[in-house]
Amino acid sequence: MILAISLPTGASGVSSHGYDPFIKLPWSKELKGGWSIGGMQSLFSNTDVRNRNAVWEPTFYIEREITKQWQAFAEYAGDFPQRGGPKEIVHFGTAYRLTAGQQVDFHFGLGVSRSAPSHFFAIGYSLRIDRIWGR
Amino acid sequence: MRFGLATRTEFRIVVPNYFGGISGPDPMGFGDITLGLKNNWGLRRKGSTSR
Repeated sequence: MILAISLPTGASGVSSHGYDPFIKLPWSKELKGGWSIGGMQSLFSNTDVRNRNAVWEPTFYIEREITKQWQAFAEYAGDFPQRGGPKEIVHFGTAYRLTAGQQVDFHFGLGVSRSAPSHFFAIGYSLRIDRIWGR
Repeated sequence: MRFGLATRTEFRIVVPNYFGGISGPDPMGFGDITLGLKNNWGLRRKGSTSR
């Protein structure tokens, strides 16, 4: 379970301009042959013109381990807001683990509902530092 | 960035995404920073970093 809050630190055209809490419940299951499936149920309380707009976001992915360090995945994600139209996307990507705690990923996607962007791509980097206490 | 506080608990700082439009009037710039805690109730996958 992930409990988090988004802080209004972003650019004016991108930030929500509010403190937005959310909860995420991720799950995953390893299958045979390097395949795995997973997803996440998320609930956001987003700032929307100084009001709250609850957004439910289900995701589902299927992933294949190509090598021990390299994975590829396909994912569906939908945003279903209390007010406004749904945004649904499918995206495809690959992730490469540089070390046990570092990963880079690349993905591209397509919108499958009217409110979603027609297409996008992204590059990401993730860093995990383990056992900062008790080393 | 994720900091392991205990075997199943981590503190997460999501460094803001940068949004840039290739075409059209999409807003550009960095998004919001997110702070959070994650607790893993199930089995942890070996070396899992992103999900």
